[in-house]
This record gives sequence, C-alpha cells and structure tokens, in this order.
Amino acid sequence: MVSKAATREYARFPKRELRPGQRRLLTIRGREVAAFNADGRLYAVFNRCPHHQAPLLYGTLVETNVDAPVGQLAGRVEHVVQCPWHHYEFALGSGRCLSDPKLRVATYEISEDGDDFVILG
Amino acid sequence: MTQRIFDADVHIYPASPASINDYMPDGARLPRFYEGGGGNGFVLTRSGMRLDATPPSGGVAGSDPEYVLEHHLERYGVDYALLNAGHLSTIGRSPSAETVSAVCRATNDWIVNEWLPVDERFLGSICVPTADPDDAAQEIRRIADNKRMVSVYTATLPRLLGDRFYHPIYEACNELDLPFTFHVPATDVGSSLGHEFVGYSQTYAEFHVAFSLPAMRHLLNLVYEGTFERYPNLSIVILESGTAWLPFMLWRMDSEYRANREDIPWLRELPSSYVRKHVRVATQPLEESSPGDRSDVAALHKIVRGQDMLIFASDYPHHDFDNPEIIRRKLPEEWHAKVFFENACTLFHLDERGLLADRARSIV
Repeated sequence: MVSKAATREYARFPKRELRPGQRRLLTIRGREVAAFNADGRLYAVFNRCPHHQAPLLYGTLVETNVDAPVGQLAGRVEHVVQCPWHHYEFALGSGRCLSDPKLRVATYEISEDGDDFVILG
Repeated sequence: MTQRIFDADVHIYPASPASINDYMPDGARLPRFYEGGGGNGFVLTRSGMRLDATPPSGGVAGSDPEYVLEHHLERYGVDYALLNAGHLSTIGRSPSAETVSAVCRATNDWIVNEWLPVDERFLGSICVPTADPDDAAQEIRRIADNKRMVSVYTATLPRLLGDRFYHPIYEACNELDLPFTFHVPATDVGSSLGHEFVGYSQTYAEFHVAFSLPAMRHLLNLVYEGTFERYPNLSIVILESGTAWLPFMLWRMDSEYRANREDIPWLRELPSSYVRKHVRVATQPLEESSPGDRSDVAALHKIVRGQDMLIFASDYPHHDFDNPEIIRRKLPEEWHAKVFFENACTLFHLDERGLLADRARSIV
C-alpha cells in the first residue's frame, strides 16, 4: 500500500494558469509556494529564501555559470532561480544553493494530470 | 511590546527626471549623466533593486511614496524612515559643481513637497553638494527650518572627512543640530569607481565588499584631525558600510594615538571616546559568518559596547536590503530598543524637534 502521506495532493490548478515562462503563487498547508514553468519544466519551491526570507516568486530564472577553474568560464547550468534581493542562486530541481552547500530551499513535486498541474507531497 | 523601528536608510528616487526637473531653476534639466543611469561603473547583470519593490504604477523602485509606505513601512512596522535620495549617488559625482548644487536644491524641494506631506513617518535628509562646502552650508541653512529634515546627506566626498575643506558644512551642522550622514561610495567627484582608493575592482562582488573601506578611512582622518574638538556638537553617521570593522578601528586608532600622541596633541581623549560620542554606524549590511549565524557579529560588538553606536538601517529598496526581522535575530534582545529605535531618536533629536509620536515617546 502506498503511504497516504506520499500521495497526498496539496494543490491542483489548470495548466493554463502556469504556461511556459510563467510563475504563480500557491498556498500549501499555510506555506507560500512559488511554482515556475521554465520552458516546460515545472518546479515548485518554498517561497522564502533561507537567507533573509525574500519572496522567491520575484526571483530571476537564469542560466548561470557552472563551477569552473580559476579565471575560466566553463559553461552554463539551467533552471536556477536567483533571489530577488541578495541574488543567492538556488537550483530549482534540488533546492540546493549553488554558493553554500549548507543552504537549501524546500522543493515540492509538481506534475501533470490531464489538463491540470498537481503538487504532491 | 512591539519593537519600534527607525530605519536610517530608505532610498527614494524620482519616478522620472521630470520629477526633479520641476524643481530645477529656470527650466534647467537634470544632467544626462543621471538620465543615462550613471551607474557605478559596472554593467550589472541584474538590478540593483529588490525585484519585488517595483511599484504597481510601474515606476522605479522607491519612487512611489504610497507604495514605499505599504511595501516597507507597513510590512515591517517601521515607525520612521529616513529618506535618502538615491540619485545623489550618481549625480553627486558629476564633475560640474554648479549642476550638483542645483540638483541638490531641487531634490530637497522635491522631498519636502512630494514626500514629507504623504506621511508623518517619512523624515528627510538634506542633500548637499560636498564639492562646494560654502554652497552646501547655504543649502543646509535654507532647508533647516523644516523640522522633518533631520540630517545632512551625501554620497560624495571629494576629500577625506577630516579635511578643513568641509568646515563650512560642519559649522552649519554643529550650529543646527543636524548629523552629517555619508553613504557609500563616499568618494571623489568625477569618478565612478574611486571608492576603493587603491585600485579598481574586477567583479561586482569585489566592488561590494570594498564598500566598507572608505568609511574606515574617513573615520580615521575625521577623528585624528580633531574635528570633534573643533565641533563638539557634530555627529557623523556612516551608512551602508557594514559594522564589523568598528572594533578593529577603535582598537587601532587608540593604539596609534597612545604611541604617536605628539603628532596629534589636539586630541584630549582617546580616539575611541570621540567615536563613541559623535559617530553612529548604520547596521546594513550587518555581517554574518553564515546565513544562519545568530550572534557572531554581536559578539564582536559586545566587546566595544557597539549597542551604543549602531543604528538600524534596511537600505530599502536596494537588492542588499537587510530584513529587520532577520537582523533582530542576530542582535541580543536587550540591544533591540537602542539599536532599532532609541539611538536614532537621540541622534536625530526627534524629541526636541517635536517629532516623537506619543506612543513612541513613552518608551524613550
């Protein structure tokens, strides 16, 4: 039996409300969640930067530089949100902060279900 | 009891050059230096503003008084916001002294007419052309009758702060109980990047860390030149330069004074004593050893009784905004009343100016 907690549906909304390039705010169990449609890839993260609590919904979706040898720029990594305040970078898929491994923003699983998007716990 | 907040650094901007041009003499216009952005020499790959601070009216962040009230003062429970004209950081460095003087005058009239009437929580800083201290002193005296213009502001310092060049400004501040407030880049006229003294930064991160350096350098010169012996009623406020360097500077300035007193015999007290009495340092950006750190910078300040010298500032609406709810966690609770409110109320003479609301006066 699949555990109830693992399959719990936290939010559902029509796909037209989150088209490619768009973002939207959701409330899940009293917590704000920012959902992004980055060129068809879907992401949902807790809407507070762990640094100063900035709303990540207003962040900039970027392709940013990957870790590189000194003095070199060696390529790009996609689907990163840059905090709208201090510009900390978070990988949308993992929630990992690119500059500090101790920092992470909570992520939520978001998937398609017919004409809807659903966020599962 | 809810913590009162005096925010010593809220930046305001004209929605468009026309907002200031309306106050320029004889139809003069803001210099194109400003209209083109002015910048700080970097082509920023991202905005210098908080991206959530753009007003619904669509203008520049910090240009809509009603939205500043709603988005910042109401949101964080700010009781008083000291409004510092953000465009002076670029215009102030125009090589044309005439232009800077005219823009400062127009900006002060703009603050008095367009911002202060909107809400009693707004207080203003008098913008001055520091490259022309006589003009600056005249402008201070022109505006000083307005009790809600509580300080003198610049982001441009063409010479070190202890230089006698500035004496006309200090005389006016000393006479009128107006703290002299300086903000980064705090450097020379005509330069876009001179705040680092020894060379140009290669990256924005390097540039940003270097914000603290001019404050340290100006403070040293200010104290050793005997400025506070000459102007015993003068206060200096340092904005957006961080704080953790303060213990280092107090210790070093005292040590060198002890060893070299004969070169600076006009000091009658230890340098740290002058700083303690006459200088206040705004908290933003409050240093942290890591984002979750709750007390490391406070531990440093505890050694020098920093709670007496710090005043809270957020730097709204800039991207490096300090959230008061986070800063509160990083400072000991017993410091909150002083650092978030009382030190600034005393510094800016709010009670004497009749500006303390009854609810606030009861706790000061």
